[in-house]
Amino acid sequence: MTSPVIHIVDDDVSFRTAVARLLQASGYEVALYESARQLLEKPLDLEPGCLLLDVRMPGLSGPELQARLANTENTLPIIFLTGHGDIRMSVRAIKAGAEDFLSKPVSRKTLIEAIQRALVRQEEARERNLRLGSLRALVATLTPRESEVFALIVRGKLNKQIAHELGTSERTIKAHRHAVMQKLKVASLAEAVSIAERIGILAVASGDEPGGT
Amino acid sequence: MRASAFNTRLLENFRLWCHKLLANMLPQLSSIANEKLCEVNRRLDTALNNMSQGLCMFDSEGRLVLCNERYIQMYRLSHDAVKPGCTIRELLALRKVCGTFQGDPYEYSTNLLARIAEGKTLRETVEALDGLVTVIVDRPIEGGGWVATFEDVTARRQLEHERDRGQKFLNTIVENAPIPIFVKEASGLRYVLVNRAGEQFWGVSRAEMIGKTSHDVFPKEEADLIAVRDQQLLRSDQPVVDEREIQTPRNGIRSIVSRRLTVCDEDGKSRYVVGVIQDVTERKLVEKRIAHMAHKLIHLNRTAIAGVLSASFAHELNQPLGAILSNAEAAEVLLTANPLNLCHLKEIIADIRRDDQRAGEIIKQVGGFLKKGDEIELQEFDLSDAVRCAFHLLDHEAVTRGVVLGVRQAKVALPVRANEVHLQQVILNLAMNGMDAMARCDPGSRKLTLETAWAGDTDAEVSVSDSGIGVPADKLERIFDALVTTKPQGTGLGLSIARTIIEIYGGKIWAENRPGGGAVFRFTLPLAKTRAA
Repeated sequence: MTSPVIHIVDDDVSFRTAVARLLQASGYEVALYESARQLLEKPLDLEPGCLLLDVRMPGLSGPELQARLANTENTLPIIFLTGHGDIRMSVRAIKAGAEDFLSKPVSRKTLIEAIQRALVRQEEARERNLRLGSLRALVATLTPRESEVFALIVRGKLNKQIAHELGTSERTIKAHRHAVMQKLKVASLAEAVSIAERIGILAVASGDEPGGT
Repeated sequence: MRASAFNTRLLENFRLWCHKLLANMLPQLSSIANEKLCEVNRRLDTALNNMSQGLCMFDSEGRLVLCNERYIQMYRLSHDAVKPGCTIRELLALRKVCGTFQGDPYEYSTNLLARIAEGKTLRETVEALDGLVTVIVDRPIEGGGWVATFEDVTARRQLEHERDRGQKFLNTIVENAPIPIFVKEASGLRYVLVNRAGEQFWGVSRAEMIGKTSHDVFPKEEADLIAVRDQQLLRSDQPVVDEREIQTPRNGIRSIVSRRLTVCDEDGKSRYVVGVIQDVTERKLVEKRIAHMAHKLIHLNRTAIAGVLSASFAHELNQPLGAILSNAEAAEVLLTANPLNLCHLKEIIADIRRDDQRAGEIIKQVGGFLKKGDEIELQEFDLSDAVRCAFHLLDHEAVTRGVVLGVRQAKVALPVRANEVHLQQVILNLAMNGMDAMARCDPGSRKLTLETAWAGDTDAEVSVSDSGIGVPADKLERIFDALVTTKPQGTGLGLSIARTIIEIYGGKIWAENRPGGGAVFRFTLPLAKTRAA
């Protein structure tokens, strides 16, 4: 795995440089931006890494940049750094998904811990996403009919009920169920339900619009 | 007239008297000849009867020798009754009947004759029942007898009374005037008049002042000064009004406005120094207290501004502090490397030093802005420097509020004399008002510009223009009055304090609405050097 890149966005050149030095000395790769706009100019090198954002900057402020990034593919965790933060500002940032909210001056320990926490979480999320992706890939191998059967099985429907619901014979459903279990590489109904839950199939049936990737 | 029949001795005596009394009228009497006696008598009669005084002549027995027309009129006697030869007692009795004599004729005439016999001149002023006031002089003449003159002084008396009344009236006014008044005679500069307020003011009774010089009354230092001032006044002869502090004999130091002038007496020679004093000590104290309060308000306003800006100050200060900490910790990590990258470490140390200076500058700036020194001290400085300082203090606040802050400075120096911190405060007040006025405008359109420029040849101008909502036309004039505000949370003190400060330094401040929207606040200050210099 490549070493994580820390993206530092701060209009104060002195601070930007100092933090970059500290992080480099601590073994991170850094990318420096003097404004939010500069960061937005080209697509971010997505993973792994995190964003260190100054709150108060001329032009786009830190929170404004956060809002812009929320509408993109960005998965980089955001750590805010502020010269003078208040509680309201930090609550707002955290609610909007920020990983952390730190005050300048920030000690190496605090900063690195925050970065590490963010990176671990990002890694976890990445792995979760990867697993989710492979599950989705498995589910994607189901035929449309098998998908329908799968959706009903995981809701605890009996073969007979499913056959009735889909207007076919119980025997046919039995064959579909077997194929589904094989394709999803599960041995029990409990495992199948777990997959369904993780990829959000159960939620879909509660009436919401199907979503997900 | 039977005068010619009287003995010549008597006539000669009368002639001598007439010579004294009427020397200018009748010089020819000295060369009188018997044959001309009748003519002379006629002239004498004419002269006597045209006198303004009443006149009678008596012989040593008290018998009337002659009297003039005025006498008869004055005492309302009849021509028939008054004949030469009638006695003084008879005349007095007649006058008593006419109501022009009140005493006892016998007693009076006896006394009179006795005094005349002693050769004494009698003078008395007699006031009759009808208000007639006469001065009577009975003057013995050589060889016996006497001449009596009667002068009607009723009118003069009245004038004198009126004058006395007027004098008394004026004295009462002077005495009761609530302001200290004194008069000194010019030659020896001794006090001749001191009123009651004066006694109280100096804490000295008039008995201790009248007839004394200021050296007898005042402490020496003060007396010396008074003497010098009196001499100056007498030399210039012009009234002087001035304000000063005086050390009174028993009332401590007082602040006074003194008006002094010289006046002449009726004779036009003797001169006096007249002084009227207004004790303004209390007023001065009140003025001082008001000034003190104004200073306190100015300082409070500055503290309030600093409170609003404190977040910005903290932010600005934490930038270098944050950089210093990160640099130091980076250096710590780098020191564990082998081999050491000394170049890199040197770079870091240089940066730490620079950031430390930067932090120091910020603290100095804020500290300077908050320092208590609120004296109206006059330093000469470039007005553009004050604007630049204000710009730095505002920089972060503007970023926070999404305001684009601009500054345009005159190309040449604008030297003014004032307390620089006070002027920064004015600029900050105006700028924060401008930012408040833009709070509800579209974030992209918030612009605040500070500008300095020449205003004519003698003034420098600072303008603070915003792109906000402008000032309601009816408030443009009043907006600098205390407690007038257009903001929901405004105290209405910021602009009033700004005006107070600008006026202290002899400037003017006003507001205008910009044609394109927004407002511009301007103030001017007199330049320390004119443009040509």
